[in-house]
Amino acid sequence: MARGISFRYLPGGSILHRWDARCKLVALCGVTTILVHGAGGVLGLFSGILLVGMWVSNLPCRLLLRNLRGWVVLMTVVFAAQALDMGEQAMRLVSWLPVSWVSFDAALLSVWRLALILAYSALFSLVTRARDVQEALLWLLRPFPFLPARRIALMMGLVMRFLPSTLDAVEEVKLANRSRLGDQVRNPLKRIKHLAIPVLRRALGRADELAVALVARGYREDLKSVIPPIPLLHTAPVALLLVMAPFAEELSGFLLTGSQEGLDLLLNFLQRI
Amino acid sequence: MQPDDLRMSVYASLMASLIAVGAYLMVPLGPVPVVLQNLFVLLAGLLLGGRWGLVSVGIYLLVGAMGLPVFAEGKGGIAHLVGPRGGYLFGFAAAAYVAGMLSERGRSRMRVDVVAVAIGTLMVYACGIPWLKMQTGMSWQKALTVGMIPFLVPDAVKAAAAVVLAKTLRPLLRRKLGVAS
Repeated sequence: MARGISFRYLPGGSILHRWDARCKLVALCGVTTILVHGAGGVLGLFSGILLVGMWVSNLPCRLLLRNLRGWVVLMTVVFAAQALDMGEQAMRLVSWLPVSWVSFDAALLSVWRLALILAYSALFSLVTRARDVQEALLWLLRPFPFLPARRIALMMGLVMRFLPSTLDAVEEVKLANRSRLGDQVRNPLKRIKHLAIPVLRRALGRADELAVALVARGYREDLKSVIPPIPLLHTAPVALLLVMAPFAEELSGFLLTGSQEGLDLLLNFLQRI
Repeated sequence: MQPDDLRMSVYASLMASLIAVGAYLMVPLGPVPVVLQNLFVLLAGLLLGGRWGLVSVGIYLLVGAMGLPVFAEGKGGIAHLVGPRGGYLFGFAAAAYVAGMLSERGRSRMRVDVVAVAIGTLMVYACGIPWLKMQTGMSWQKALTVGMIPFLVPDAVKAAAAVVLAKTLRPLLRRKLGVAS
């Protein structure tokens, strides 16, 4: 199980580590939204910000690359699907390859955008503890009165408890199946049935025992959980990001190329602030 | 909180963990091995009903969003939710709800279950394909070719397996709950 964990927390004392998880979560959503709609300039700007973030949090870049390694296949598929263009032969990069400059550019931008979204999420996971994320999610769910935050926390805890035991049960059933030559069965429906039914029977039995134990111990939902308020200073970067979002393209144009239009917009923006 | 409610919460958590385990379970169907996630998503709807099926998928998505490696290929984190495959994950919630609701309305009859899982499977694609197209900028044709057509046959087998498993496990669950699921 542990081998499968690619996005994990790495302890540290940097500014990013200490930044409130709720602000980080909102900032991540904001950055992702900007990236989805952004063109080349915006992607360049946010690539720079990402590198600064990695440097500030004292994380080596190879860690980020290792996190992205599992996505290479998906990115290759996206690139290939975007780059293929069966249009006019005169527009092609190479005469024998059905790829035009336009489709090549579009494919490159798509993959760059995807890699950046993944990299920002990896950075978020690397500098945020799971418990803080859980509390941030509870905080985000609180404004919705129809969502019972405490019960959600209990259920998330139960999932984490069930996961390893269910994986163990699967391994046991698989071994038992192999010893009875169950792995030689060709019919996929039978294979799934022979694996899933024993696992589900055991899991349901365990879940039932747990539910009885919770009832017997008088589990209550009306106990209040205390989540501290967000320090005001922590909200400043999020506010800046949200204010900047509509002008991201022009700002990045100025920062990357120094264009007059971008400079005017930047000055206008600073005056407004 | 009523004891039955608490019990259903525990069962929904169990189904959420089974959906997560489904991401690790590979069964060879034809030349390519496929994961069993959608099978457990549909099963959650069929066994627990629309509301609790939706809850179990919601909890699964929250646990994944926290960064635990519960999504396909052992991935986790917000990236997966907002990434190109995010639509399929949100489609799981719609699938569990619709399949569960239809099954409940049809009093868990086999024919109704078959229709319910078929519509549930289509719900996954209805959410996943437009999301994939939006995120990657592909054309509709390319999005369908990459994100739907190769998975139709394996999904049909998984949907059939969900109906068979639900038929086998419902009596057990009814005995435990004392009410019709």
